[in-house]
Amino acid sequence: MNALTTHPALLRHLPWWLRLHTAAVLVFLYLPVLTLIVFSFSNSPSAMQWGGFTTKWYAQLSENARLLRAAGNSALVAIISTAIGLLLGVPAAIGHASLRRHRTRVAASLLLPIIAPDVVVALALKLWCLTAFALAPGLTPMILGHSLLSLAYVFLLVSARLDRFDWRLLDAARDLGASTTSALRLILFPHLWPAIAGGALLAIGVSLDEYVISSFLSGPGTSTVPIETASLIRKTFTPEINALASALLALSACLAAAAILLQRRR
Amino acid sequence: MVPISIRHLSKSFDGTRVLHDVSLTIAAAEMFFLLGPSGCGKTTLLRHLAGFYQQDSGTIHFGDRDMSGVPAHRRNTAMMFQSYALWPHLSVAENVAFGLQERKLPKPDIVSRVREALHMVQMGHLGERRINQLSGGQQQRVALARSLAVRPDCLLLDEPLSNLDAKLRLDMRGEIRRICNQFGLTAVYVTHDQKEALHLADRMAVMEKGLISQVGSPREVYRAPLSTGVASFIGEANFFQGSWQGHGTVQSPHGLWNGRLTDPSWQPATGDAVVLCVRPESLRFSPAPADLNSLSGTLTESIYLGELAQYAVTAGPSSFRLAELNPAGLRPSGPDAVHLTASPDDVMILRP
Repeated sequence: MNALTTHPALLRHLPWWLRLHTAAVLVFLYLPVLTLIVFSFSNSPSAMQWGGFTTKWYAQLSENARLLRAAGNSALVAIISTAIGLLLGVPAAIGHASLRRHRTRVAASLLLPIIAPDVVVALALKLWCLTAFALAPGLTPMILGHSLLSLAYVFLLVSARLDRFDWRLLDAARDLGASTTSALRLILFPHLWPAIAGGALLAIGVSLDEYVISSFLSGPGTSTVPIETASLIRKTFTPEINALASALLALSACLAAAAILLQRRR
Repeated sequence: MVPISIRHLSKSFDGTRVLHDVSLTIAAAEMFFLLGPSGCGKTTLLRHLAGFYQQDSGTIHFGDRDMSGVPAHRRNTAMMFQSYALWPHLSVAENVAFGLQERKLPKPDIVSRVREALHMVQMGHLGERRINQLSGGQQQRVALARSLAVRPDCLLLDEPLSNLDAKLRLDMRGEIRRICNQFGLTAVYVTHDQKEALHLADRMAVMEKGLISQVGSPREVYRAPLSTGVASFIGEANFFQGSWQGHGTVQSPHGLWNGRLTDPSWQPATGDAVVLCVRPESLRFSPAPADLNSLSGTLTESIYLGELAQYAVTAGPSSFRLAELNPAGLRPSGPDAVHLTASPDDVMILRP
């Protein structure tokens, strides 16, 4: 059967008002973002006034030492926390799939960091890191905080893919001579890897974007790009901000596109 | 190509006994069927042979080798799954090669054995295909090739044909039988399809509630079931009560009936309760009532099915099914009395 013949009639002949509604939502979503990109090339000191085409704000951005240091911190935190998230999240998802009882409870508790309000998670982490472990505010507590988020996202994606896994495929592998380890490596991992890679990209994206947890846990000299951006708009609102936002947007678009491409593979 | 011997095997899951003291001997190169309603333990027993489960007590021997504690990947068995369980990320040839790679065979040997196995199931030309490009029947052939390529000691089949349509199922039945004969494979085949079992089995075991009810050839199990459970699971059966009068004669609500005892180890005493069992195809219409092996009732249902006509006859509180092979026409149902009879050789007397 092909998709065209099974496609519901309603979706093939969408009423005009539904089409209009969809168009309106898209405009509402993308117009501000497009405006922002356009004004990042504006040769005017004001962020919302057109003054001819220039790329000088991007050049200025690339020489902003504070921002570059923050970008370095952001990248470091994103990569390490994602690695930790993968190391914890993939086994957690496999373990969770093998549970026979309390599955919902275990899943909910692992997803808590993305369900609970960020402020609550941030505050809890701050209290815990600073008092229980006597950690100074800085990169280490930030990495720990971001790892919780990574763990949750990796768990979410890998679990969803495991739901569609036929566990008898592993039985068949063991039956034909593969040890449990080989069966996991040769049969389960190839099935999971799009979800693992997608989860990692999502975790990197979330980490680069994370503001609340980072700002609660950051210390002197360890700010990240979102923190730096927030402090920049408090002072002045120049097209440099637009350029920064556009650059970040391009980066997240790349991550999202990569994640979608990976999910599309079987 | 090894005999399998199962001794006093028991298994519980979460406190529920699923296998009770099961003992079976399966000869080398025999095609042995495990049959029974769902939940009877047949699949659990098969998974014990594969090594997916370890028994709580009892032993399994392949030839002289005790398989207790031997994990699935160190047993030279190959299983065919109901869902085929082919690996979707590998090509047809890679699926077949998997077991050989795990056995660390040299590359050229793997290539030739994959080719040979695919050729055997008439899939030689499709080695490069992806699994999702194959039809159900083709997938089942690949699964068979994958099992044969490792040259297993014993082939385990877990309802392998139940997802195929009727015509294909018949073709594959023949194919599996041919290949098992050709290689002298010991095969243990789980199914709830009694037709499949009667068609293919050298011998079969009928299981109920984790126990083995009867072991025998298809003819023995069909013609001489030891219990009403076996009689009603293999084929259809009409049952009615009676009391033993000696010499194969039973007094029943439908008069005197003559039949044969199916269990040679059981000799009822006069007056003992027994159950009479007559297959629908053993009953036939007779023009007039008789003194022996005769019952009268009204025809309440007539169905024409091409190769046979199926009737339901209500006699007192019970209902009887009758099947007439190669019917020329169909008797209309109606209120008039009809008379049924069966020859004593076709009337089976069972323990209640």
